[in-house]
Amino acid sequence: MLNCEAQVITNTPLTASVFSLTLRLPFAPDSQVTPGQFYMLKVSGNIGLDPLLRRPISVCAFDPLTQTLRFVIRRVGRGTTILEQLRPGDPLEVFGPLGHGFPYPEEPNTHALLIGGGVGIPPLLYLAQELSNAGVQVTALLGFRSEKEVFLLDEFSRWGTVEIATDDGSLGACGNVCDLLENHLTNSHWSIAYACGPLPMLQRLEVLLGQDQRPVYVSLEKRMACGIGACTACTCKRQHPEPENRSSLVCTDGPVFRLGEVELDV
Amino acid sequence: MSNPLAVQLGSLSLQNPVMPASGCFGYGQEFARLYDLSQLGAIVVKATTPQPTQGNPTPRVAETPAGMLNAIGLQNPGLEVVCQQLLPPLVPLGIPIIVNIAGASIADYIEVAQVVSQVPGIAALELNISCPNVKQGGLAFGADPDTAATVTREVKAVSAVPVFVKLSPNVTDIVAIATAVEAAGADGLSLINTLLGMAIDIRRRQPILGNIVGGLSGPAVKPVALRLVHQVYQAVSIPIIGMGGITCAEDVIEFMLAGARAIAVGTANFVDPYILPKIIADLPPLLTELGVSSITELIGGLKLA
Repeated sequence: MLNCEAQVITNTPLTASVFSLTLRLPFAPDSQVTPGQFYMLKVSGNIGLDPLLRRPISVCAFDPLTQTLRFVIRRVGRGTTILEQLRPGDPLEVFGPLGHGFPYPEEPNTHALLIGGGVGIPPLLYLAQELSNAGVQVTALLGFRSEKEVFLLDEFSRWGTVEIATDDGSLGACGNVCDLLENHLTNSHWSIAYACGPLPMLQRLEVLLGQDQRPVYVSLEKRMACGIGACTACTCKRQHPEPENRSSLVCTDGPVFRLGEVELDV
Repeated sequence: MSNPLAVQLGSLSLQNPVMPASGCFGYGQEFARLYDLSQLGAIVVKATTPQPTQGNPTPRVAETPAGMLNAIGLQNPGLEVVCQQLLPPLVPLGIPIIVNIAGASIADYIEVAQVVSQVPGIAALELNISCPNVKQGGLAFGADPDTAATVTREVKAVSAVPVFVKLSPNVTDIVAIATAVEAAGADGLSLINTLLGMAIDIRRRQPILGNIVGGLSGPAVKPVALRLVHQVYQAVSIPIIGMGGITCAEDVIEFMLAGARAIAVGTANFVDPYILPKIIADLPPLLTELGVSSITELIGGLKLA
């Protein structure tokens, strides 16, 4: 993990509220940037410290040749509005990569199921790319509110099969992504699954896949201040608190956990 | 040539007045991966309680204008793990290590003080009677001059090292508490702890913090902290570690002019993990600009008409 001032290369809207931000790092990261890891983005710029805290954002793509980092972000408040307004050439301080990403399958020639909801989808695109390049077959189940809010669909199609669900049925199946997942529960083709999305989606996913013997990994989100384990804000209870009632931190122990490892709550 | 940043904090000699504030630096290990901790003036580690403490339910932080609320709830692995595993790696740094101690009863404080102050190389204790985020202990001891004096006296009686008492701003008269703990034998004061506050999610009609209320920190509290340091400095003769919203070298000078002999940086460590070395590097040129050869010249140097 390193802190540096990156430069905005492009910043383009994908939907009315979701945008794609690419940055060039001034030097190579000190470690591999793996899918599921995140960076802390300093939204307050170079003058003043308001909004105060950095925003933890998962990596959507990283190109080590050009040292280009991509984030796909939804505007939800002050910090993300500032990020949305960045223009090419603008500086942005970033700190990372942080946390543990998605573990890759141990065996080659496997089939991975990726399950993403809304703004939880971007880190799965990076994962789809890396898995596909490693010879893993990818099926992505993606859920959005409506057709208008669909993003990254074409890019997922490059790396595998994609199934879509929208809450209003305007594109793909009507329902949420867990409805799509129900069709794959008894499907024996996939041998590993990865999920990222809103808490209610992950909670339902845990009901559906909690007893499945195949490995399932989920990426969690929690309010945090530092991203490196110092503030202990993003704690989560372990489902099997061994040893000595230890809790886990989303920032350093996660954000990716094996399903069943920690309790899924706010 | 003498070190222009050196300060004396009671019996502790600091190479510079800059240290992390308790609770914002863990036990140092996260930041030790980023830079050499031996360049700091001192290190103040997270509050330690007798038993492991789980802390409060999440969400534990909420951003507010120019600040943040936290309700961590003193999460820590407990006295045994802290003394055996977390403190020993800090001792070889050669800078004063100050351990923040907390508890739910006077017996807790005594137990932690006794054990921690015996760990070889620990320079001082910081008595936390001001945590707003735990139901028992913490602020219950810091809101009343008599109780604050009692716990100070009891801890002083068992501590092998100097005791700094960390004061809360959530009181009617901080000067009464400061003078009471000074009379009870405190070697110094740390101020301020966080200001109690809250934030509400209007769509869910719920508090954002799992604990409902939490402590406000960051630049938003700096004017309040400065005022309290200024008031307490005029009333006591023991050294003060000033803190509350410090983010840059200029802020350090403000606190020292108000009467702080050393300062602690808290929340800013979360925003910029390299903030402490940055502030330390920025101080010498700022002193030159201000025309002083030693930072000690500025302590309490506020000019009042």
